[in-house]
Amino acid sequence: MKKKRNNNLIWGCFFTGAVLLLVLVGLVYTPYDPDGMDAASKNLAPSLSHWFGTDNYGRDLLSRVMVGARTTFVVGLLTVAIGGFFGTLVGLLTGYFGGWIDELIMRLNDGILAFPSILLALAFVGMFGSGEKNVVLALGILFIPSIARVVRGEVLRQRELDYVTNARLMGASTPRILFVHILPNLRRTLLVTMAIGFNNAVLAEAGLSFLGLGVQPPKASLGRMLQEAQSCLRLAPWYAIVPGAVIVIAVLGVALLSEAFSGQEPTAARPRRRKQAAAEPPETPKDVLLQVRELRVFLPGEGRSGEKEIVRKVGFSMKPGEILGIVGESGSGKSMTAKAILGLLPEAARTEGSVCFRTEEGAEPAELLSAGEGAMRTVRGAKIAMVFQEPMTSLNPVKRIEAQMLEVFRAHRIAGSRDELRGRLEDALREVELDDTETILRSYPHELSGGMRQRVMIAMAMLLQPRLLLADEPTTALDAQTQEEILTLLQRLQKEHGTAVILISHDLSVIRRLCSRVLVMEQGRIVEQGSCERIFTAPKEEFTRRLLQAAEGEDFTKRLELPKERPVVLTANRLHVYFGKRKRPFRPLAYEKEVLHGFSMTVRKGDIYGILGRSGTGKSTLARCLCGLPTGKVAGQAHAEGRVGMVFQDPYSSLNPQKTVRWLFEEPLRNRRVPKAERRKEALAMLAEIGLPEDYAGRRINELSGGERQRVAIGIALMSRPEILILDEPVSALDVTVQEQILSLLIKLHNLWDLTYLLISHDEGVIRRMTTDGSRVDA
Amino acid sequence: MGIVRKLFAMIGTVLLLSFLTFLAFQVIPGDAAQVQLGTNATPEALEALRAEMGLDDPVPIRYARWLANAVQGDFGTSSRYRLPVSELLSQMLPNTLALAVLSLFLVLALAFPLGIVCARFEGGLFDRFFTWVNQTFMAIPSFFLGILISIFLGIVLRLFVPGRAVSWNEDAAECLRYLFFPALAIALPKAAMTVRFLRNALITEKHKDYVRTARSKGMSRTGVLLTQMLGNALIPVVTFLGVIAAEVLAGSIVVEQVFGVNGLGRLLVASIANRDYNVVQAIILYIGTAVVVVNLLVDLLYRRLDPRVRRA
Repeated sequence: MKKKRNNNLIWGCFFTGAVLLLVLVGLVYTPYDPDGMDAASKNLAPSLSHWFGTDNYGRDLLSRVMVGARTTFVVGLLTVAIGGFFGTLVGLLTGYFGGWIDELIMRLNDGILAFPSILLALAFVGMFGSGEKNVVLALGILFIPSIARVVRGEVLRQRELDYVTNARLMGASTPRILFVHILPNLRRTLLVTMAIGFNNAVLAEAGLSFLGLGVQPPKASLGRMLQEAQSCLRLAPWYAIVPGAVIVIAVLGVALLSEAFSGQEPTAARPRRRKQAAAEPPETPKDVLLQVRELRVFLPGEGRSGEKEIVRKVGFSMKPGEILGIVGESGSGKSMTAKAILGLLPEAARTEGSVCFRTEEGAEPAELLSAGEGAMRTVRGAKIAMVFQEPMTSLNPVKRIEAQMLEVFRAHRIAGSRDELRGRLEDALREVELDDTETILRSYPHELSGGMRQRVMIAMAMLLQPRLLLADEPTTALDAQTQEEILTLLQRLQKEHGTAVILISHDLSVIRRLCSRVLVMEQGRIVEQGSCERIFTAPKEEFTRRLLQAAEGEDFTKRLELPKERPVVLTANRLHVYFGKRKRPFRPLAYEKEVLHGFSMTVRKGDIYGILGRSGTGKSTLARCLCGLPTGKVAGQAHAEGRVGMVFQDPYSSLNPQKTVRWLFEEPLRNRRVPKAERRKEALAMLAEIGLPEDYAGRRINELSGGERQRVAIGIALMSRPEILILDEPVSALDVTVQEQILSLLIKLHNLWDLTYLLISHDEGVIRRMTTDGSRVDA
Repeated sequence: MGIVRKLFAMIGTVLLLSFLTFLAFQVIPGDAAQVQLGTNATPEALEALRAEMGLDDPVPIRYARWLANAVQGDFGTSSRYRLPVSELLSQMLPNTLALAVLSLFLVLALAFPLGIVCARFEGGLFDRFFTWVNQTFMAIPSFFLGILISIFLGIVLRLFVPGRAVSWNEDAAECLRYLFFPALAIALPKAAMTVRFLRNALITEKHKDYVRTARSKGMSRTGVLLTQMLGNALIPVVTFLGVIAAEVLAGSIVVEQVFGVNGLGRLLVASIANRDYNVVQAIILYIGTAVVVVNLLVDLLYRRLDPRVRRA
C-alpha cells in the first residue's frame, strides 16, 4: 500500500511557509517604506505597482503587512516563550511533588483558565495601561496556566507508570528522572500545546491592537492595520482583507501543523465497501445450525496488498444446542471470527467465504456474510446474541439497566404494554438468578458488581431466546468464584433452552468444563479441531500440545539449585501499610484504608518465595516496601540483606518507550558513573544473558514484543547486580507460551547468579510450579 | 448537599474577584481625588475631598463600604460621563446580553446537527469537507469575520447598514435583526470548534464496548448514535460548551466594536482608554460573575448527565 499522505502536514507547511517567507523577506527588503505616507497614492486598489493596494495615508500595504506580521508573530513567540518556560517548570514540579502547593496552584490555574484569555488580557491592560510590552506580558503570564496544566496532567500520568519507579530503582536522582526520563516523553504534547498557545496569542494580540489597546501607532501590526482599515471599508475594502487574510493563513497553517504533530490520524476517506457477490451457498446438511466455510477476514495494514489477514480460511459447523469452544492466544483471530458471524467487524474490514445460519428450525439457511445491514439487524439480538468480556464497559454507563434491556424489544419492533414488557425483563433477570429485579432494573451499571453486570448481559442476550449465543471470554474479567457461577449459569441456560453456544476463551480449563467440541486457533488459522476429550487427551498438533503443556505447566522447582549455606536474607515482621487520610487526629493507626495487615515472612538465600493473592490485596505495596520505594504509612519492619532489584508486571509501562535497550541497560551504570566503554561491554553481555541477539541493543522499546520487553526488564533489574529480585506478576501480562519461556529464563538466571526471588502472583499455577516456600496475602 | 457547597464556592469566587478588582482599580491606580480634581488642585481641596470620599480609611473598611454599595447596585460615578455607573450599565447590558444569547443559540443550532452528521458518516465526503471548513473558520478571528460580513453582507449585498445599530431599549425586534450579523461573526468560529469537538467526542464513543453491545442487540447505527452515544458524548461536550459560552462573551466585546453595538464591550474599551476606573471595574466584575455563573450551570448540568457523578 502506498504510504498514507498526511494532508495536514503538507498544507500546514505550505501555509506557515508562505507567511514565514513574507516576514523573512520583510526583514531585509520591502518594496516601499512601510511608514512612508504619500497623499498622491491614497486608497489605491491592488495593482502591479502596489500588489496589495495602499491605505488611506498612501502607504504600500504589502510592505506594511510584511512589517505588521513580524510584530504580531514576535508577540506570539514571546508569549509562547514566557508561558512555555515557566509553565513547563511549574507543571513538572507540581505534578511530580504534589501536595498542598500543587493543590493551591492548580486551584489558581483553574480559576484563570475559566476566563477567556482576551478578557484577562483586557483586565491586565486596563490595570497597567495599554502598549505592546504589557500585551506580551499579559498574554505570556496568562499562558503559563494552560501549559502548566497540560504538563502536570501528563507528569501525573507518567509518574504512575512503572518506568519512573524503575528509573528510581536504577538509582536516578529526582532531577534526572524529571528531565531525562519524563520530559522527553512530553515533547509531543508540549509542542502541540505551544502551537495552540501561539495561535491564541496571535489572535489575542490582533484583537487587542484592533481595540487600540495593544501596539500603538505608527507601528504596524496586523490587528492595528485592521483597526485603521475599519474607517474605510467602503473606499478600500482590500485594506482590511489583506492583514486579516495573513492572520487566517498563519493561524490555519500552525493549527494544521500541530494537528499533524499531535499524531492524530487525519480524517481519511472511508474505504469503499466492496460488495461481496452472494455466492450460491453450497448445500448445508439438515441438522446443521451454523456452517462457516473458508472464512477470511482482512483488515487494512502494511504489506504488499495493503491488508492483513486476521482470519485465514476458517471453517466449522455447529449443531443446534451444541457448545463449541474456540481456544487460542490473544491475536489468534478467535474474537474476529465471532464478530464476523454477527457482522460486527470494524468498518474497514473485508471478508471472504461464507457463513450460513439457519434462523428457524427447518428453514433454509441464510448467508450472513453478504447479507445487508437491515437483514443482519433482524438476526442480531433475536437469532444470534453475544456476551462480551468486560461487563463494565459493555453496558452504557449513563442509562439504567431497564432502558438498556428495553432497547432489545424496540430494536426488533416488539410492541407491548409497559407492564407486559417489564414483566418479561423481570422473568429474564430471574432466569439468571438475579432476584431483586426491582432494584436491578432501576440501577445504573456502575452500581452493580462485576458478576451482576455479566448476569445482566446474559439476561439481555437471552431475552429473545436466540438460537446461538456467542460468549467472548465471558469470565475472564471476573474473580474465580464468580467465574464458576457464570459458567454454571451458561451451562444451565444452554440445557434448558437448547441454545447453541460458541465459547471463546484463552483458558483451557473453562473450555474443558463446558464444551463438547473445541477449535484451536493460532494466527488466524484453525490448527486443530475435534471433540473436547480427544483434544485434551490426545492432541495431534505441536501448538495444541504446547498450549496444554503451558496450562498444565512444568514443575520448575525441579530445575532449581539451592546454595549450601542459606542465611536469612529477607524478612518482614508484622508489616502494616495504610493509605488515605487519618480518620481521627492523634490516633496513629486509624487511616481510611489498610492494605497489609501484619504481614510476616522469612526468606532464605536461594529461595523462590511465592506470595499469592488476588488483585488489590497489597501485593504490590509489599514489593514497594521491600524496595524502599515510597508508599503509604508503614508500621512494622521489613528488612533486606543485600541489594534488591525489581521486575514489574506490565512490560509496556515499566520501560520508557522512547529509549533504546542499550540506553536502559546502561542507565544504572551511568548513575554509578561507570566509564562508557565498560558500560557498552556490560550491556552487550547482559543482552546475551537474557537471550536476545546483539542487534537488539539499538532497538527502541516500542519496537519490541511483550515477551522481549519482559526479558529486557529482567536484564535492567540485573544490571545493578542485585542479590534479591522481586518479581511483581512477571508473566501475567503475557500469553501462556511466552510465560513458559520467561519462567524458564528466570530459573536459569536464578541458578547462574545465585539469586533469591520473591515472586508475587495471583496465579496459583505459577506459584505452585515456581516456588520453594510462600504465603498468601488476602484482604 | 453538593449543590449547596458549589453555591457557596461560587459566592466565594465572586467575592474574591470583587476584592481583586477593588485592589486593582481603587487602590493601585492611586488617588481618585487627584484624578477628579486634576493636577493643579490645592492641597487643602484635595484633603477635603479625600476625607469626603473616605480615601483616608484603611483598605478593608473602604472595601466593605464599596461592597455594601455594589450589592445595592451602586458602583460609583463615571469620571468621564459624569453619570452613575449603574445607569450606564443598564443602557448597555441588554444589548450585550442579547448579542451573547443570540450567538450562543446560533452556535448550538449550527453545531449539533453538523457534528452529529459528520460523526455518523465519518470519513465520508460531507465529513471531510466540513473538517476543512471547520479548520478554516477556527482560524478566523471573530472581528475579522465581522469586517468581512460588513463588507459582503452589508456593503455589497446591502442586507444591513454597518454601524447603524439599534438599541434593545428602543426597539427589541429591530435590535435583534441587526444583532444577527454580529452574532454570526461571533458564532461561526465557535460553532466550528463545537462541531469538531462534538464530532470527535462521538467518534471516541464509537469504539467503546457498549456500542458493540447495542449493535449486537440489533440496533441500527443511527439509532445507536442518537440514543446511546450522544448521551455519553454530551458529558465532555457540556464542559466544552461552558468554555464556549465564556468565549462568546469575550468575542462580543471585540465584535461590538466592529458593528458599533452600544454594549458593555464598547463601553469597557472606551473606559480603559479614558482611565475611567469605576466603569472598568464594574464591567469586569459583571463579566467575571457571568463566567462564574456559567461554570456553575455547566457543573449542575454535568451532574444531571453523568449518573456516576450524581451519586458520588
